[in-house]
Amino acid sequence: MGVNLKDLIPPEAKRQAEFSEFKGKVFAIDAYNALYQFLSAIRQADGTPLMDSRGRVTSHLSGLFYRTINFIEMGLKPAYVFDGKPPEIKAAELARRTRVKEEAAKKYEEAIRRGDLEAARRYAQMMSKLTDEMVEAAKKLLYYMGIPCIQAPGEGEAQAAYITIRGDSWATASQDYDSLLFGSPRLVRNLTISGKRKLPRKNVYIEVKPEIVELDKVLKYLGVTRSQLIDIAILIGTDYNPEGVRGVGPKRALTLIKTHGSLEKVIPLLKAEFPEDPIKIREYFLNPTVTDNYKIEWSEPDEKCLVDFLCGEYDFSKSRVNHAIERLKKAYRENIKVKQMGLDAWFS
Amino acid sequence: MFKAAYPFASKFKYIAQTLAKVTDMIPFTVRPEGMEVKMLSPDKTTMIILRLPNLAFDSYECDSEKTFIVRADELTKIVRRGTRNDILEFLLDEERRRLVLVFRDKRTGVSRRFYLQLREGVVEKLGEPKIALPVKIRMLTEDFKNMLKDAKIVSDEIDMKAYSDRLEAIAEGHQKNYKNIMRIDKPLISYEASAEATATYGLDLLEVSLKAMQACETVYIEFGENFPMKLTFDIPGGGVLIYWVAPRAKT
Repeated sequence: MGVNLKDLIPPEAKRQAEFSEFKGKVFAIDAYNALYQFLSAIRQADGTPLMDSRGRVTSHLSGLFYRTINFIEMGLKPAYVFDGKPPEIKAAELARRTRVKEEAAKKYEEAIRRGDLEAARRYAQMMSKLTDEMVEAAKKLLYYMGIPCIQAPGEGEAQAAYITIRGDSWATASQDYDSLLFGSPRLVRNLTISGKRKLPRKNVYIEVKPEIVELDKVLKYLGVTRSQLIDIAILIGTDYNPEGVRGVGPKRALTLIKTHGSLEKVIPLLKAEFPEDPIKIREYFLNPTVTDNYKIEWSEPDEKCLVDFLCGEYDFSKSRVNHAIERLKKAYRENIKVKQMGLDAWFS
Repeated sequence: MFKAAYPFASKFKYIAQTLAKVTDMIPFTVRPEGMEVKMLSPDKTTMIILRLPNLAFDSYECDSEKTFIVRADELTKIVRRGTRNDILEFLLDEERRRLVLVFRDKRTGVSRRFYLQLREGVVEKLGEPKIALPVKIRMLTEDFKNMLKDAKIVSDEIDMKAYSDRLEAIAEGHQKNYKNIMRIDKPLISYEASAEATATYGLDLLEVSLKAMQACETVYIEFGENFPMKLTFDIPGGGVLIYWVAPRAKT
């Protein structure tokens, strides 16, 4: 779920972007976040995900395959970062997610019985569950596509932020804001969901565009340090204390931290309870478990393996897959194998 | 104030269409000495510079430097309506933040008026690549266009190889190749290579200049070893359109 900093991000720190701006740039994509987006969005009218003949869900593979090809065609260089072992302080959030999914499953059944497809779709989206088997299939697909996969030792967003801090990627890509707390200098939202999207419960379509959020501008315009931003997030609620502090929203959290300086001084005033030591949570955001042991390299797509995997194992349409592979090969040749340079190299 | 009448509305149509292919917004700078547009594409692969001196206009009035921005798609939709008989008049209405575009038929005197809202934003002061390019070629735009179209059949990029006596354009694709050897008069109008040079360019980027070619008869091409290509189009009646394209580096 991630921390919801949406209402706190100053307008000066974010802007809509066009994909043309991203040409040649490396993106460390939060893989779990992207897969959940695909799993949630790619569904039939009643909310049933795409499935193969054996009843295995394939929505995540479909989204990952076609969207990644779109990225490469537009000149982006994606690298997917997968979550490792969740930190112990995340136990409360994981338990909460399980509860939400169980409740959604009940409501889904009721909606189906009532014949309310709109509600059924909504609850089905909330039920989205990414199993280990699905994650392994996604990794295998990326491997055959020649796209780098990075295995984080802990949180994927922390690793993606670290890769961006080191300059190995231009931005992290996720719908969540956590990577900013982990120190990513630049976050791109909406990358995996850009395009025409239907508004929930309305028959209205909107054009979703990528949004760039820059950490230094967030800190500058809010007038806080990164550590203070983390403190604010902890008061609102993070993955490690999902409930936050009762009665404290983004504005009050900002005022409290700016007035008193830090969590240590604010907590006694609020007499709040936390499922985990909030200072420990802050420490995790400041120093998460990450690794230097990763490679960001793209390679030629393996046509035969892709067809065998998608069509042979998961019943994808052979003609559609073959067409998409041709697009991928062309885009790889044009945008990755051959490097399009920028004129800025000759300006000085 | 800024008010000017450009005698070739139909030619300006091609120029505006070329500008629109680079960015969504067109930043104009008008000075007493003429009109200028300078834009770098968001991905920095192409740059376009349009310079129309005041002499290129039938009439030109500008008391001081002014900058304004219009949406590229809105401008092209309007200028596309210009015909060969039309003069295109520009009038900057600063008070109402709009650009007035008037097509005036030279024969009948009938005028059609469009109002285009100006967009907010600052016109960035852009530099230009600072490089000496050893290869200099002039050729008919028609020949250049055909070369790009030929190459496009086999590949999405073109290798330009300059030798002391000839220019080679090469494209290589899957099981198909294209090679065009060009020399002075065959069909090059002029050719000078002070050093041998090879560079590769994306055909999609070069193709952006095709619209400009419809307004001009010849193109002046300059490039160097793995350097950007500079295409200069002399606009009939005065002015130039310069188009820079960054090269591709093969990894």
